[in-house]
Amino acid sequence: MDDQSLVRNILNGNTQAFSFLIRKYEKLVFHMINKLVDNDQIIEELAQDVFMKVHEKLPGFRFESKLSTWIGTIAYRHTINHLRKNKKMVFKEIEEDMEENYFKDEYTPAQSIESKDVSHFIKEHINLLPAHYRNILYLYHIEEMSYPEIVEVTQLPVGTVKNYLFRARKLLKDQLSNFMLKEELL
Amino acid sequence: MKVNKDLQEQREFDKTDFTQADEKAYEILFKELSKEDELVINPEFAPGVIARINKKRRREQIKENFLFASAIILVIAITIAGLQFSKSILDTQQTLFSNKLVLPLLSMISMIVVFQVLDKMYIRNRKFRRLKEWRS
Repeated sequence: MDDQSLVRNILNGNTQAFSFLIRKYEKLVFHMINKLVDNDQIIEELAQDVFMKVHEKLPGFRFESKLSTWIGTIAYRHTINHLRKNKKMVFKEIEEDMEENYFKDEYTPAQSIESKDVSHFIKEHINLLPAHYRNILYLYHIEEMSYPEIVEVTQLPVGTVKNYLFRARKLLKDQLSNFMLKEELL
Repeated sequence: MKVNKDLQEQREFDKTDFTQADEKAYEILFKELSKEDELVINPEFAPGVIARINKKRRREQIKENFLFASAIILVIAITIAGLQFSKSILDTQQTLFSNKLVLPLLSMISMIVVFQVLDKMYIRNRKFRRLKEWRS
């Protein structure tokens, strides 16, 4: 079922159609919240709130963007608002000189040698990146969103989105190069 | 190809010429970044959301019914008050024949206006929406 018929069915009061929409987009919503919050229980509560909001606001959705982008935007904003309300997130420009510290404290060289494989190594390092970096990496590489779509979801300027994406990838690439070099030496 | 476009953009950002090792590292990285993490979602998640929506809908229905009942009570109260007021005026001013007609008529009109306003503000749209949902 395409998104337009799905929305039409939901607006006609079809509960099954909304259940279908939840199943179709729950992964996107959970992943997006998961990139910003690390408590499983809170993630599920926030995801429920997001779908309640989607249901409430759906009559006003005019298909000016993709349904996934619209739902992603609601998920992102709701999570950010939750974090702001609970004072768990301080919004400030991520300084480049802080970047070298991302991998410093939590990941020792010994641990990096112990990493099972490249895949495992990269995943662990992604988790050490700031939330905005992780989120943009996810939207670009997994959801395959374009820059304008990421801008719509995150409400960040396009320059900032690109900057975060490229900086995150460069940081990961530098770590990966070191890791691969060590692997070759062993 | 997306990988080539990503590499080109990254090269422009890094402002350096990539060595073969850099290029290889980026290619591996892009491949890994496009792999989705495994995520376990409670199978009861969707039914849970639907249950919350139904609960909310029931609460709204109770609120609407309460508002509807309140509107009717208010209209009846205004009518009774209007009739009593007109009666008291008619009792004291016997000469004003026209009041026998005008005052009850004004009460009726004000009653209809109040009811229409309440209906438009709080009841009609929701009732129609619910009726539409019920029919489908």
